[in-house]
Formats: sequence, structure tokens, C-alpha cells
Amino acid sequence: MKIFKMKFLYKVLFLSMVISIASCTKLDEKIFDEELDTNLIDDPANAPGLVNPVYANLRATNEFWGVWGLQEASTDEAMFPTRGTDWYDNGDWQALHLQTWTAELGAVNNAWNVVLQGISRANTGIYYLKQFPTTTEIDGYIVELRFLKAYYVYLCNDFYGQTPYRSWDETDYSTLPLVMNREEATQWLITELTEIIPLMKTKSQIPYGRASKAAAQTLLGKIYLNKEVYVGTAAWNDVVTQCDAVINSGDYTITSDYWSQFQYENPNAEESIFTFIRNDEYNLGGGGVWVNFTLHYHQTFGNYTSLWNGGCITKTFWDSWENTDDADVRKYDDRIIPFTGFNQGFLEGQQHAIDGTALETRDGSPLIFVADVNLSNASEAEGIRCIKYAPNPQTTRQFDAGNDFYAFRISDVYLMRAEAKFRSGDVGGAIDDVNTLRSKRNATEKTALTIDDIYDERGYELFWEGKRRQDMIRFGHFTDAFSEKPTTPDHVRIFPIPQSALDVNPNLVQNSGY
Amino acid sequence: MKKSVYYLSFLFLIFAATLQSYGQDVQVTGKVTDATIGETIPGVSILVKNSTIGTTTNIDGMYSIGVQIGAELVFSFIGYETQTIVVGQQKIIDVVMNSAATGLDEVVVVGYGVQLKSDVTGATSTLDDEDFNAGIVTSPAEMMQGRISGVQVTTNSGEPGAGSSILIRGSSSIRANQAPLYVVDGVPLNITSIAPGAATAAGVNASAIKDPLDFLNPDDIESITVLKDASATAIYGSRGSNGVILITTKKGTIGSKGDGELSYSFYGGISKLPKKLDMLSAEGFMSASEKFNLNLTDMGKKTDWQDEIFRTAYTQSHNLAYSGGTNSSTYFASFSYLDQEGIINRTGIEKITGRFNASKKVFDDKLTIATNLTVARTNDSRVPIGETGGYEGDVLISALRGNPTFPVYNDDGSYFQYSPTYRNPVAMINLTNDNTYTDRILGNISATYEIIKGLTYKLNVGIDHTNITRKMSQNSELSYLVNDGQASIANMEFDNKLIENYLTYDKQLNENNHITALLGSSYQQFDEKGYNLVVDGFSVEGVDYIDNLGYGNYDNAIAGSFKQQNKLQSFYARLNYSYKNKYLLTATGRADGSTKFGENNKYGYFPSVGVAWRLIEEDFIKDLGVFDNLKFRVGWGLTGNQEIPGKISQLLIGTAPNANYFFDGENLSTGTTFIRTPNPDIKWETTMQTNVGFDFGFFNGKLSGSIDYFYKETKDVLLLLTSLAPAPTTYMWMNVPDMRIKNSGIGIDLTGVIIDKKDLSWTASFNFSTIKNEVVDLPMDLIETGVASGAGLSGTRVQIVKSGYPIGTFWGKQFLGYDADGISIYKKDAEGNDVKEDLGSALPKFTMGLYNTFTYKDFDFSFFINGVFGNKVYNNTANAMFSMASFSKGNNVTEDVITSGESIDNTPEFSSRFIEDGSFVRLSTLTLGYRIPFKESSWVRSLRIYVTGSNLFLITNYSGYDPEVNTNGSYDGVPSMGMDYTGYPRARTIQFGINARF
Repeated sequence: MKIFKMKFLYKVLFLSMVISIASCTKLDEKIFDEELDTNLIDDPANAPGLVNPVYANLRATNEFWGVWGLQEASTDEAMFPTRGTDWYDNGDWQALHLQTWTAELGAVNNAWNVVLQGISRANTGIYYLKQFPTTTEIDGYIVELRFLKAYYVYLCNDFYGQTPYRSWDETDYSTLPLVMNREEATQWLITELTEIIPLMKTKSQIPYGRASKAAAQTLLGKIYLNKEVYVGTAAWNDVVTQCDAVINSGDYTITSDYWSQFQYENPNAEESIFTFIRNDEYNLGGGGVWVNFTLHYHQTFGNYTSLWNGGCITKTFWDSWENTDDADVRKYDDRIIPFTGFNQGFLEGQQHAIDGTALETRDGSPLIFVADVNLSNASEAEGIRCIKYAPNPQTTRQFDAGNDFYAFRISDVYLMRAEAKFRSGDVGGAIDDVNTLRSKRNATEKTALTIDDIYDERGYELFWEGKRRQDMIRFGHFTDAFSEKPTTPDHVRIFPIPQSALDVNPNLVQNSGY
Repeated sequence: MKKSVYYLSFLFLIFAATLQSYGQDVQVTGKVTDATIGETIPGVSILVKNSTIGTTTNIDGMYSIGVQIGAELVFSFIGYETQTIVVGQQKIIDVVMNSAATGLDEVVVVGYGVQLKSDVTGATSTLDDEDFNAGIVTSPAEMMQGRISGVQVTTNSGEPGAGSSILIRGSSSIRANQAPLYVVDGVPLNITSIAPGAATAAGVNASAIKDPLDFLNPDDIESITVLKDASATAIYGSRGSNGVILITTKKGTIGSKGDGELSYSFYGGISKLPKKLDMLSAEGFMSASEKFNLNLTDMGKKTDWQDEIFRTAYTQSHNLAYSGGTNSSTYFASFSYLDQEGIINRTGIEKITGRFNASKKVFDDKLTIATNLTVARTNDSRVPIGETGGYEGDVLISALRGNPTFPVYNDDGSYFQYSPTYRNPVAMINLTNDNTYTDRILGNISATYEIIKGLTYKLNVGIDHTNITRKMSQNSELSYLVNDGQASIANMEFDNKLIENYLTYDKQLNENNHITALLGSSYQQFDEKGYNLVVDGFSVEGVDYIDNLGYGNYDNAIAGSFKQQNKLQSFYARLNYSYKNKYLLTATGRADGSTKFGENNKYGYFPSVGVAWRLIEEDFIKDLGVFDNLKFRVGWGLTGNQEIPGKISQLLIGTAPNANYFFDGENLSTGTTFIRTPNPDIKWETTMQTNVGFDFGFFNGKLSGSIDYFYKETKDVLLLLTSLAPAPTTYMWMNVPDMRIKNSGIGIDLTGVIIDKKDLSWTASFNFSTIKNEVVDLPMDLIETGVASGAGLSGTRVQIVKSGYPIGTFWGKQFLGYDADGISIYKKDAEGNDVKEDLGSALPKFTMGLYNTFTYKDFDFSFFINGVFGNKVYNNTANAMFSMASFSKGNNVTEDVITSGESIDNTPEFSSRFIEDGSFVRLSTLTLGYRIPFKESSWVRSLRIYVTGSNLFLITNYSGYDPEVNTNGSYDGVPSMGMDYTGYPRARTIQFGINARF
């Protein structure tokens, strides 16, 4: 009896052991298909890898459903009319045009995510670069990242008037970030940029596609230019100072062939101050699908079988071109027609295929683009189309553009200086700057100037380059009635904070009016 | 090994000797036989009451036991009524055992064991093979659809082998899975939906997922048990929240003569589309065009595009099985073949399965080795029917919108393709080859060892391997393809390995107290890997591109692969205690650790307790003489849902295309950045569930059933929340502690034996469920899902998750009709602004099922009606296509659109206009069978022929093909419900079959 009991006990013990042995596995998650390897951030040789993501994020500022959409589709330069069953898309495009956006508008949310992602990527880069032994090279990268962070803060401040901010050494992402209001962010930007400008490299010291001293100076100039809008006090002389520094550096010149800088192969354009590189071959042209959305279904080239027939310009903007010469080269350029069938600039009237045959709409009428557009029910051919950057005529990558995109170029700086001079009373200086540009564009030189001439000139020179919203606000035209949009209330000059951001960060307070 | 065998034998010799040492007065022998067929029953347990002395009958049903005079012998055997006999002077006691009546003592499968139904304290339902739904069924979901209260099965479409959404007691998760855990013969399957992705035609996005349990042969299934409440599912811990479905396959039975049985069944079926949509004919199309001055293209043909894509489909199924056994070994083997055509041309499923289940007892029947093994190959043939998609549309959209004056073919015999965005559905079908090949092996081997009487140890080792390859090629003749045809291969491989050990101890302590205890552990590892390859640029003719990718422009190829692994390690225990067979207690607990959980939350603990009071054993109930069963059950427990995405607790720093840049101005170089913000606190979702229920039976089993009320509350809900920007990633996974998802409801199951005569019987079963769902304290205003597809609907999401509303709520503008100009009028607020509001939920208010069987002599007749009431369906197809604006662009529309008064200038934006009542009543199946009588000595044991009709009628107000539809419109990982965008219509089928047993 006793023996049995002992044996039985052994047996139970044995079984419990089997159970526990079979079960003593560590439950660490093993990851196979991702490189979690922290060598990437431990090895100073990988320093460029920490800089790259912050630049790469600039490509996302091209997206017509995000940053670019807010900058342009909210203005008279671009609109996306509903075309029957097409392009209604939850009413978002109409809301952008009518400036009736809400905190739920997709583009408002997407743009927010892009600019804050940029701030965070800059922080991450700086944080890890600071772990490396200090060298001139590493210090240079850190200064570049500080500039890029400032650029994203500038975008955020310009759009939303509130900027959630973290210092580069803040790595606990569960704490609430500080929120800078418009005044604080503007001041932070001025201080930060003033501090880093002397540390930045000049055009010849840094590779193409990266940020030079002139980029930081232009950005600071832009902040001064809009300072009256941001905080109520103007700083025109500071604008002139920054523009002078850029222009007088002699590194940048206005090109005599306007459209050469908007070709498919466009690197090293002489006007380029701050340009980010896109590349269709590597599918790195995200968001730059303006040809897709603007061209009619039948305007095919490359491997397109159909395009999207959406966005166009407003009648208001088209009419503003009556104030410049017909010979102004910025309106129309025919160099790509043999390869694509369509021109650069504005597409008006009868459209043609590559072989020259006249195109038709889907129901067989001639495809003639006209300026009048009905926002809520446009027919296929309504709206003048716009091709700023030439596509790759042999494209097989329909969702990517290969052109490098100008965030800042020298023509803009001349017009900034002209405006600042004009507003501070130096009309003669302003006329000189405007004429310097116009003479290169085959446009008659001005003998007299109004403030709205400068506004129009900015439109002619910089259309579809993501500048219009800021300009319209600064020149007081953003809330004016244009196209089908009635006069809108002042609060629309700042976008609402996205609902998803308000949901999680109680330090953000919705902007007034929303 | 050998040593331990000796050791064990030795141990048992001692054990046996110990038993022999008890004093005894008389040696009783006897034979136990079955009351109905008169055959002896081997394996009957004979126990001396209030002692540990016992024996079992041998293969001839004989037993021998030494007892004291006056002792009581308890004879028990599964499926028979237990008998107690007092030992007198007689030396031979023969016992005739009666089959357990009214199913009260039938054995039901529970987690890690079986239990007498009368002892169960939780809410469970079982369907046996004779209860399964008739018709062409390819998966367990279809076999039980509509039959069990609280279990809502929605087949996603009518495509052969289509997946189903199964909600057991409501929807208790947003981001984790809502699907139940399947356990097949003790092997828990991977819950992850097995969905072969592949590149799809331009503008046609991913195709619907197929049913992951297609690989099981329905004829192999012995029973399906659904564990609904926490008292029953908590033993499955972190996988129990959505309910558990236990599938038991057929085992060999000990034949009456030990010679086994061979069965063969066959059916052939004919399927058709029950109703076409009322599209305009060529004449109607052109006259409407004229009426509205539209000048639409008239090519003079008369094409009914629906007729061009639909067909009469044929199905055949063969199933051969043989089984048998002796007292110490059993076997069951089967082989099946199914070839089911879909009602859309070139769609269908072909399936071959084989199964071998066997068991063997050794060492004096102390050790039982059992294996279950099934292998299956499935080939799904599909056409480009997408779940979501661009404005161009898939096969169904192209057929519905197709201009009826267009020809199918050009004069030269080639396909007429009007434009890349206006496609010919016949060309799409015929110029696309899309096959998914699925190989699956599921097997387990178990060893059960009886250490001492009542104490058994079981080792269970299982493997489940799935390899899915989807191969698709699209011919370059399709004008919408941008790069000369395309071929794609997508492969996924799933491995699931299980090792389980558990001890069960069963003991009648004394006359009144009985316990069963379970203690075990399990370890399970899930591996997933896959690759995909897309090549285009084919100029070759006469070769299916997929057969030689080398003909393509592989410089342009896209390739990818992935691999993931997760492990689950668990410990569990259960105690069942019964006092006087009247008061029952079940307590369970499970600890689950998972690699998916964050390091701060590696283990979750899931307790439950259930009590039951068998009122029928109380004299005051017995004395009423009304009831023959009455049991009151209360259960409470915590269960989890661990189907959270892998890797989310881990930091990911790495390179990504969107971080790469041209650092030196010319050459692409990689960027290193945070790709995933880690959350080391990530864990399972926890559901607390309380259940109160009654089981009852009246009038000698004439009416029996159960009624259950439950309340479920899920917390720690997993959401992908916006990060506190600026943060490395825009979103971050979190368990939201305060948020709740509440489900409560009532389920009723009734069975009535209305007539029970020798030649005539009528049994009716009825079930009813109602479930209320509500989201509480969502940490954001709302979460959108329900992505609408079609032209002008980009960015439109029609469904929301919002505090105070059920999951599946449609949200949008209220459509009030058209103004004088035919422009939509929507409800506005006091300031004249458009308002979005609750447009109803896709969750039904209640569901019902009614199943009737009649037998008359050798005839049998049965039918099953199921109904779903109060749910809404979003008719995305109509939103995308059936409007005047769409017609004005040359798309065909339904006849009612033309007369609706809508202007061609009206924008058909999403609103309540396209939300429809999805209630329906369906005559799911109707069967008439005849059992051909044979003499007893005949070589045929039984032969039955039958005819079954499926989906014979459907009563609904829904304007699409079928309101039972669930197109996947999930947004950002949040599932949608009740969406209909080109759902593959459900067929009406007539099948003829024969079942023979030899």
C-alpha cells in the first residue's frame, strides 16, 4: 500500500514535470521580416540615413489630398469640380473650394499628419546624431535638420496657427507635447533660424537637393513677410535684409527659359534655392500626380489608358491673365506637344492626341476646354487645365512624378523683396525687382505698380507651386468671393485643428469659428 | 522508453493487487445488452456504489466482479441510462440497458473533455450530423447557419466557398477579430483569416476572402458544439471572447459484428440566379436617352449583360467512407470530391478531401492512442469581382452598367471593348485566369493514459499546415491593362503546432458528492509566411502567362515576402463539483501568455464560475408531474481576445521607401527612421460575461428547450489611436481602458415533438435571438469605416463607431426626396446646414430559425426557414451606378431610376437614399427523402434518395440581389458590416442525392 502511494506520488510529480518542461518557453516576440537592428543608429557611418527621412518627408508635401491641396485647392488657382458621378468624394473638394471645411476634412487631417511627421523625424534624426562623437560633418547635419524642423513648424503654424512641439530630446511620446500658438511659433522660428543661418552651408558647399544657407534665409524672409498676418506687426525691412542676402550671394539667377525648370529632367535649375528630389524610377514621386487628375480621360500618353479628368483652374484666375501680355511665356509652352499631345501651362480649347487628331469627350463631342466651370456639376470639358511640371512622356509609373519640386526659388525671392519694398514705401525698388523678373518672361516692363500688380505677378510666376493660399491671405483676397465661392468669414484663414488631434491632445483648442 | 513501459506495468500490477486486497463475499458475473437491438455492449462501467471498486464489460459484454451481498452495482455507459442493481444472492446479473431518452444524458463536447449534458452549467449548443443544414454546403458555418440562437452566420456572398462572418453573441471588438475560435478534434485553429491576396485587375481591388474551414468535408463532421458564455469559453482564455466552436469528426464505431460499415453518398445539383436586376433593355435605354436629350451611344445590338455573365451551374459531390472497430481499436476513413460551379461563368470550387481517424487501446485498455488526420486540396476559380474598387468597376458592375446596345464581340470575333474605363465583362471573365490552390493538412495524435481509476493523463500533439497559392493572369488583349497583360502569384503558408498535456481526475467521492478536475498546459506556435510576385509586359500568345513568367518584362516585376510568428503558452484548470446531482458547480481558470503581448503584460488570467440547479431532482418539481427536465444556470467569467496584430509591442527602426532620399543629390540612399512606435503595455481585450439560463423539458420530452439571457462587456478595447504628435508615427496601438463595448441579449431554442407515432412523426425546432450592442466612452468623436466604392465616392465612409451607438451604425444625411428640379433634398438643422445622423445599424434587431422534419413510413420531409429582421444594408452598387447622373454618362440603370424624378444634374452622394431595410425571410432548404426498404439480410444496410431545394424563396424589400451580403468595406483595419458592393449573388439550387450504407 505504502509503496503504491509513493510510486503514485512519483508518477504525479513526473507528469507535472512533463507539463512544466513543455511549457517553459520564453515569450519574446521574434521578428523575422523587419530589421530591428539598432546598428542602423549606432554606427556614425549611417549618419546620412538619419538625415534622409526628414528630406524624404518633403515629398509628402506634394500630395493633392494633403498639404498641396490645402495650399492650392482652397484658392482661385485650383478647383476640383464634381463631374456627374465623379469627383464628389464625400463633398471634400467642394468644401475646399467653398472654404466650408471642417475639422473632419480629409486634407486637413492628412496635411497635419505630414507636417508633424516632419517635425518628429527631424527630432529623431537630431537625437541619434547627437549620440555620435561630435564632428564638423555631424554638426552640419544637425543644423540641416534644425532647418527642416523649422520648415515643418512654419507649415504647421501657417496652416493651423497652433503647433504641438517637442524638443529633440523628448522621447516619451506619452507625455502631452507643448503647444505653441501662432505668436510663440513665429518667435521660435525667428530665433531658431537666426541662430542657424550662420552655421549653414552655402550652395557650393552642399549637394543639390539639400538645404543651404539661402534656404534658411528665404524661409526667414517668408516668415517676416507674413509676420503681419501671423502676429499683427509687419517686418518689411527684415524681409528685404534676408532677400538681399540671398540675391547678393550671386548663387542664384532667374532663368531666361522659364519652362526649362519645369521639364521632366530638371535638376540643378539655376533658380533652385530649396528643392526636393523626386524620382519616378524608384516610385519616389508620391503625390505628384497632377497630370493624372487634371487631364481628360482621353489625353493618354506613356502607358496611360485613361486619366482622371478632375482638377482645373478657376475662371477668376484665368481672367487675371488678361492683365499681362499674351506673349508672357508663363502662360503656354509647346515643347512637350510632340510627345504628349498637350502643352505646358494652361490647356484651353480643342485638345489633341499625340498624333495630332482632335480628341473627343466620351459622348463624342469635341474635347474643348472652357474657362467656365460649375462646381457641383461640371461637364467633362469644363475648366481650363494646368500642366506645371512636364510628365515623363514614356511613363510607366503613373503614380509618381520624376520632377524635382521647388519649395523656394529665386524668382519668388525677387517678388518677396518687391512686395516688402512696396509695402515699406520703396515703390521704385519694387518696380525694379518686378521688371527684373518680367524682362526674363517676355512680358512688358512695368512703369507703375499697384500692390495687386505684385499679387497678380506672383500668380503668373508661381501658380500651382503651393504659394497661393499664403499670398491670397496676405494680399487680403482669400476670403473674397471668387469663382462660385461667396465671401467667406475671416476664421477660414486658419484651418481647423483635425478632430483626430483634438481627440488625443487636450492642450489643443479648436480654432475659433470651427 | 521501454523501461518506462515496464515501470508502468509494474505500477499497475501493484495497483491491481491493492484492489484485490478488499474483502468480498460473492463473485457476480453477467452480460450487458442493449435494450433495442439486443446486442451486447462492451466497455460498460460497473462500479460498486460508494467504493472505488469497479470493472468494465469485455468485448462480449461480459463482466465479473467480487462484491459483498447487499452492495449496489452501478452500470453506466455513454449514451445509456445509468442503472443501479442491488446484489442479492444471485451470482449472475444480466443487465439490459436503455438508450438515454430525451437526450438528457447525451454527452456533449466541452473544452478539453466531454460532459453529460445534464451536468453542463454553461450556455452551449450542439448540432449533430442529422441536424446539419442540407444543401450544397462547403463549410461548418453553412452547416449551422440559422440553427443556433445567439450565433449569427452571414455568408459574405453567394460565391462558392465564400467566407462567412460569424458573430457569437454580438460584436465585441473593433480592431481585434470578431470571429470565434475553432477547435477541431482538440486542435485550436489559427483564428487569422486565411486570405490569399494577389494583385488584381486595374480598378478591381482585393477579392473577398474564402471560408477558412472549406477544407473540412461536411460529411466527416460528427457534431458542432458552440460554446457561448464565459463559463464555457473561459477555459480557452484569451481566445474565448468571441465564442468557441468545437468540431468533432466521425470516429469508427464498434460494429455490431465487428465488420464495420461502408457508406457512399452522392449528389448532383443545378443552380441558377434567382432573380435578375431590372436593368433597362436596349429599347428602354435608348428611349430614356431620347426622353432626357442625352444622345447616348446606340450601337444597335440587344445585349442583356446579365445573361452574358450568369449561367446555369452544375455541382456534383461524392463521398465514400468506411469505418469499424473492435473493443480496442476503431477506424474511420473517408474520401470526398466536390465540383461546384458558380452561377457566374468560370467561377467555382473543386475540393478533394481525405480523412483517417483511428484509435487503439493497449496495456489493458489503460492507454489509448488516437489519431485524426485530414488532408484537403481546394481549387477556387474566380473572376475579377472585387470588394472595393475604382470607378471602372469589376465584372458585376461592368455587366450592370453595360450599355445594352453594345455588342459582346466585334465582327472579327474579338471582344468589343468600348474604353479602358467602360469594360466588357465577358472579356474580363474569359481573359482572366484566377485560381487559388489551397492544400491543408490537419492532424493530431493523442495518448490518453489511465494512471489510476479516474485519473487520466492526456498528451495531445497537433499540426495544421496550410499552403495557399493564388495564380492569376490577365491577357494583354484586355484594353484596360496598362502594361500588356499581367501575371501574379501570391502565396501564403500557415503552420500551427500544438502540444498539450492535461490530467483529468474523476471521482464519485461518496453517494452525494462527485468531482471532476482538470489541470493542463498547452503550447501553440503559429507561423505565417508568404510571397507575391507580379510581372507584366507579355507579348506571347497561346501561353497562359502564369505558366512562364519569363515571357514577361520581369525588369518591371514586383516582388515581396513576409514572415511572422507568434506563440501562445497556457495553463488551465477546471473543477466540476456535483452535490446530489442537484447542485452543480463549474470553476475554470486559464492563464495565457502570448508573444504578441507587450513585455509589461505577458500573461492574462481568465477565471470563470458557473452554477446550476437541477430543479428536476427536487421533489416539489417532480411532484408537479409536468417537467421531465428543469435546470437553472448562472455563469460568470472573463475571457479575452488576443487577435491583435503581431509586432505592435515592438519598436521598429528601419528603412522604408518613404524615408529614402538622394543624400548626395544624385544617388538614392536609405533613410533610417521609426516605423512603429512600441507599446510595451499592449495586451488582449477582456470581456466580462454573465449568463442566466433555463433548460427545460415538458410532457415526456414533447417540448424541450432552453432560454438564456446574457450580458457582455468588453474593456481594454484595442484601437489604433492618433499619436500625441509630434511622434515618430502618426498612429499608435493602445488598449483603451475606459471604453466599453456592451452586448446583451436573449436566446431561445425550442424543440417540439408534435407527432411521434410509429409511421408518422413531426418534430419542429425553433430558435430566436435578439442582441443589443452599444459602444460606450469611445475616446474619440467617432471612428469611420464602411468604405464606399465607385465613381465620386472616394473618401466616402458610410459607417461609424461612436459612443452611444451600436457597431455597424450607418451615418449620413437623411434623404427627403427630390425638389421640383429633381435635385436631392436632405434634412437640415435649424441653421440650414446639412446634418449627418444615425441611419440605422447593420446588426439585426432579431433573428429566427424554424426547422421542421416529418417522417411518414419510409419518407422524410424537412424544411428550414430563417429570418433576419431590423438590419440595414448599404446598397453601394446602387449608389455607384443607379442614378440619373450615372445614366447620363452612358451607364445602364434599373428601370425605377428613369421614373424616379431625379435630375441628371443631381449628384448621387451617399445618404439614407441608399440605405435599405435588409430584413428577410428565406426558405433556406427543403428536402424530401425516401428510404428504400431492404430485408435485414440484404447486403445493403440502408439506402436513401432525396431531393433538396435551397434558397427556394426569399421575402425581402431589399432591391439588390440579396440582402444577406457582407462586402468588405473595412477602413484602416476597422471592419464594416452590411455593405453590398457587387456581392456575388446567391444561387437557387435543386439537388438530387443518394446516401447508401453497406
